[in-house]
Amino acid sequence: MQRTAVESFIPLLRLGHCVFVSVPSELSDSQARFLQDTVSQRLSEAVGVRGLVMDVSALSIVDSFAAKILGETASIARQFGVKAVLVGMRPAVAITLVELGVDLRHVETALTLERALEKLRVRIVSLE
Amino acid sequence: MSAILDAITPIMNDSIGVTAARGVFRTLPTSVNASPGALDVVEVRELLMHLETSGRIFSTPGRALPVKRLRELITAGLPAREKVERFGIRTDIDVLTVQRATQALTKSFFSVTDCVRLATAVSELARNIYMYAKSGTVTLKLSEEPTHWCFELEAVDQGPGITNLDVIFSGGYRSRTGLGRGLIGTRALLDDMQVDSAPGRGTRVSGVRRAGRR
Repeated sequence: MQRTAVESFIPLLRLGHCVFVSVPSELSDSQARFLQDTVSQRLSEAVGVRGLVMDVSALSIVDSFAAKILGETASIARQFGVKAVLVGMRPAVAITLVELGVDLRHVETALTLERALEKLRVRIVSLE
Repeated sequence: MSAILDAITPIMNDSIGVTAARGVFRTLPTSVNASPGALDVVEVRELLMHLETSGRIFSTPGRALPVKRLRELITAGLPAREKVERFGIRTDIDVLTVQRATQALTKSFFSVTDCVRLATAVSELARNIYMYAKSGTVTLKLSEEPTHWCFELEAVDQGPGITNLDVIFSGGYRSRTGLGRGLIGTRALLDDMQVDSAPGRGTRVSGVRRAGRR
């Protein structure tokens, strides 16, 4: 299958002891797997990472497969001693996931990025 | 087209109003024969929204037509034609395509949450086709009923069929791909869902969800 430019790029940022990943607005199955691979690779190589923040605020549809991939990514992070937090899920998506019966209880969640960082005990220290 | 435009032109305040009304017609696909009763449910809805707005802004005060009258003009008093879209499913990109199409089709009829519910349900069924049957079709249908908007979906494939429907719907099944929630979860997102499948005969899933007309 052809890889498009979008498919082969996942925005990953390092912030202190955290890695911050922006989940794209649409996830095809191959993109979801690519995201999982990219994050796992990064976590296995990076030194001193304690937290993974997955920003899903752009995602408008999360079906059982996408939810499974997100859950698995959190479990993989745990294998590397990294705690994962999902942040910014849209209300309609949350309602749909609950009705769909998808169980994301094992994944830590937070409403805002600030709360996510609090959960990961990451402090943004100003240098001034 | 002229019948609708003829009815609107006299009540428009000035040339700007008439131009605006004509502009609204241009938003319709050119293939559409925009005579009363010829438009489908999505076109009627969009045209009404435009006409209602431009009527309020541009018509001579007190002469704007009520939405009910506008609707009668557009549909000739008949129910609007249903809108049907069919998609072939072969790859995971096709799954995204039907997700998008469902959102586009439902967004001006259903609530935000309902749109996500429907797009998710369609996504589950489309993914089942591409994972288990390799190829098939998904059909989306939007129609109007006297008091409701009605969204229907149908997913058909000639794949291996489902042998253990009872087990799946009892909730004890765990698939290798999802969380074993595909079908049972999809049923929860719809008002009604039917599965017709047997080994070697392929699978046909149809579902429906309605929303009150606003």
